[in-house]
Amino acid sequence: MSDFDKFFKDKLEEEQTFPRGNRNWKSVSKRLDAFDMGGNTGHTYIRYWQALAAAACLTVGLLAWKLVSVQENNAKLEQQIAQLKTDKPADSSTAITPGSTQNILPGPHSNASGKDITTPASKSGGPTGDITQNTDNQIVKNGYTHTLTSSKQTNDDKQQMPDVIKTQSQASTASQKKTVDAKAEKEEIKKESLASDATSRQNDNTPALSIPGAVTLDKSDSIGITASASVGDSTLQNTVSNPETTDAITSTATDSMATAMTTPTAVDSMTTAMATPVQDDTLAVVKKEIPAPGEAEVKPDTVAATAAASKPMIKPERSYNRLRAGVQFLAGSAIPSEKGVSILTGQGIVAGWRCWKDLSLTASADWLRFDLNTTEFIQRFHPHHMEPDPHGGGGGQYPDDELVQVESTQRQRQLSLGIQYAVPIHFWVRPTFKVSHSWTHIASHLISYKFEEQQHGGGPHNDPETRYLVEKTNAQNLDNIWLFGVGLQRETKRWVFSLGADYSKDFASSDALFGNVVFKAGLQYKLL
Amino acid sequence: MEGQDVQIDHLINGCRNNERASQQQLFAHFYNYAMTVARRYAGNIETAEEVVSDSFFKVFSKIHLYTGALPFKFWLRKVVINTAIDHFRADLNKLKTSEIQPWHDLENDSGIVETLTRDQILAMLDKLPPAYRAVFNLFVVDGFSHEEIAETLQISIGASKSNLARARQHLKTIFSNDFEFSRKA
Repeated sequence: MSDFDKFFKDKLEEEQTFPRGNRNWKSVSKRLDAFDMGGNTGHTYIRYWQALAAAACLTVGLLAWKLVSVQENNAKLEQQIAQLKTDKPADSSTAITPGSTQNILPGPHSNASGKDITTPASKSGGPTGDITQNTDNQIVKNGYTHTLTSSKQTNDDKQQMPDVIKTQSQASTASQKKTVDAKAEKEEIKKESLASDATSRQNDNTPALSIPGAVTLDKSDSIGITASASVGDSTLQNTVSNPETTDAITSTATDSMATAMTTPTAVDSMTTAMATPVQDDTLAVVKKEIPAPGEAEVKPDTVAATAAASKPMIKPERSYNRLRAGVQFLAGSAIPSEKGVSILTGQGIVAGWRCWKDLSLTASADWLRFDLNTTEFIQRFHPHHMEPDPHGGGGGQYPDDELVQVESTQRQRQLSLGIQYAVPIHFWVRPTFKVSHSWTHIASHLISYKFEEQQHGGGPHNDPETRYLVEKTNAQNLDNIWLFGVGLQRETKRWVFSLGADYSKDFASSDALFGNVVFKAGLQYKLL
Repeated sequence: MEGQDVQIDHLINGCRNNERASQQQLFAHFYNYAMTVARRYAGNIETAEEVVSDSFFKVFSKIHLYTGALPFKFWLRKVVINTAIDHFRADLNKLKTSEIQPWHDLENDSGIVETLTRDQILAMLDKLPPAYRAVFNLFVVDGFSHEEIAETLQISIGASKSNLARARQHLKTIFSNDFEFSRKA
């Protein structure tokens, strides 16, 4: 290195004192703060988004599970309805004939669908069923053996037979109902049997034991009442209480028993009857399921008809859910918050059009304002505006001046267009999510700058010189701002109440406007 | 690090913990030194302040890269130089190669040159184009070899040599215009 190079080197390496060290440190410190905040905030925001994503996944999972369960329930209900429809025609086709094996007394033997559970065929060789007809032309029914002789049947009996047949369908459906009032029914039967017995005493052709609406017995054939009838049968006991009837029955029963015991079929039937204890509720069931002649009419018996009759008429109601409009009030703050920046307040109008199910197109116009009083020029609050030179321009008229205060009042108008989705849950409020694009107009406004001389004489009476500068900004239009909102919505017939928060972010590559969170409370009226 | 002030080590450790107070003290301690280095490359004090601000931001945000093998002052110097070169990266593309002019003429006026003050020399440097100023500073003041200059500025060694000569030629012209005239006067 030559001497001259060394001379230059020594001269240029001499360390000198430079001013504005504190101001430069503030600049570096703010950059470091922004750097640190960005990292921490980023982590915090990431956690928020992670939590939001997890909550969204959980909500989706719950809604999907609920949807699947509702669909399964619907499928089951549809199957039950189809099964009911198929069972109904099968029940209505059932009929009773004297020789049929159909059970006219489903009673305890019926299942829920009204179908009869038939018992195995008796040893008498007749067809299956509780009613069998043996070779002696006797009908064995629930332990009772009744002998049919047409000549001894009264006209009432003949009429009651068709009634029994006709009401088979009704009996089968009514068999589903278990007799809670069996005892009451039994009382009625007792009374009726007493009445029938009194009637029968007047007419020899009238059987001693008669069940209203059923096959009546001939007195002389009371022999058919086997020993099983004497097992706890209160009706017979009541009948026996009448001396005349008792003697008749006793005498004939004694004779008949001897005869019955000798007959094989009678023995079998008696054995079967004895094996089958008579239940008190059987007559009650009989009484209940075989109505009186007056009642023996075919009634419209369809499940659908009954259901239709019980279902109230649903009148179509007009729903106002297509177009709505209203007002909203706003309050928010800058993100990240800055000391000296007031809250954002404003109001606006909003409209929505439900285009598909729970998806709506929204449009809004909001007017916001806020005050700014900071100790420095923060670029994001003054987009597209340059900070003035504190030294007074290129000439350096005020070399020792520093910017100490920036004041302004700003007004913005936001025109937004977006999409809103209301979660379809059955609750008094529904969460909503919204994404919209905003065209923001920043009105022209004044910015007041205050400069103070930093290096002054000092002393208690030597205040620093203050200088003010006022600049007017041009109106600006920013068209790269997006709003992301969440909220709650309560809908009535004609009104919609909403409460939510919108996060605004400017995606401009440079000179971006400050981000903010604005809380909105809105009221809308459903027009269509 | 031996030879380095214990206090500096303490401040560096505080900076590693992101303590703002330690950062401020370290900034205040090396601010003038960093400005001296940046002033030679910047051409004016405002640009030098920007370079220093960027340099310290890099230092504090990447303090974990300082291993302690070199004194912190040298590491800071290197950061400032690189930041200054990055600041004028666009202008450095205008480097041209030309015939090497010998640095002879100025030696005849060695007596006058030696009377130049630092500010005068700085004023002469400020008048150089940024590319020439960078090569001159790297070679003459910061002791970079032409190979190192070529690697740093991503130019050839020959271009480094030629541009150094052109820088000296410019300084001679400036000196002749500004100081010889006054001497004659």
